[in-house]
Amino acid sequence: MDKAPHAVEIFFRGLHVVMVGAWLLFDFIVYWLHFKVKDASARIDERLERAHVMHGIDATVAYIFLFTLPVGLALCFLTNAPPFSAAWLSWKHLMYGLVVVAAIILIPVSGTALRNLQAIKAGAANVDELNAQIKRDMNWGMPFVFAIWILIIAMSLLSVFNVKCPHCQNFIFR
Amino acid sequence: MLVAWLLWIFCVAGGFYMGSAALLALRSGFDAVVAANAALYLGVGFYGLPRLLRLVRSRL
Repeated sequence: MDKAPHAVEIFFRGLHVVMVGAWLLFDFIVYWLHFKVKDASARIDERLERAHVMHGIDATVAYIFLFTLPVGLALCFLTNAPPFSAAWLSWKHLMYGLVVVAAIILIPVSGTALRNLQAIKAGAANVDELNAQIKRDMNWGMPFVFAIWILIIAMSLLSVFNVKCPHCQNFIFR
Repeated sequence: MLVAWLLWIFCVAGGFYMGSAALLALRSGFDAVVAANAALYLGVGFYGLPRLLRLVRSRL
C-alpha cells in the first residue's frame, strides 16, 4: 500500500475511534445531567438550563451516532474488508443495528423533559403531572441507555482485539 | 428537524444498504449472525421508509 491511501486509512480509523469515544463521553454527560432535570425539588430555572444543555449534547450524540456507520463503511472500503467478511465484523454490525433500534425506541421520549419544563416555566397548572411524566419517561428510557453503553463498549473491544497492522497483517493487541 | 431528517434518511439508506449487503453475503453460505443482520437492518429500513416519506410529503 502506498503512503497516500495508508494516510487516508489512518485518518478514517482515527476518526472512527474519536467518534465512538465522543459518543460514549457525551452520553455519560447526558446521563449525569438527567438527575437534576428529573428532580422535581430543584429550582425550575436550574432544571430548564440543564435540560437545554442536555438537549444540545443529545443532538451532538445523534449526529455522531448517525455518521459512525458511513465512516465505518468507508473504513471497510479502504481496508478492502466488506461489512460481513469476518465473524467479528458481522457481530459488530449486529450490535450497531441493535443500537439503532434502541435509538428509535428512545426518540419519542427524548424531547419530553425540555417541553414539559418549558410548560412549567410558562405557568402550566398541571405541574405534578408534567414532573411525573418527565421522571416516568426518563426512567423508562434508562434500560435502553444502559444497553447502548454495553453495546458500544462490546463493539469497541471487538474492534480493538481485531485490529491488524496494515503492513504485516498481524493482530496488534493480541 | 435536521436530526429527524438525518435519522430517517440514515434508517432507510443505511438499513437497506446493510440489509442487502447481508443478503448478498448469505448467498455464499448461511450464517446465523449475518441472517440476523439482514433481518434487523431490512426491518429498520422498512420501519423508516413511511416516516421518511411522511417527512418528504410534509415539505411538498
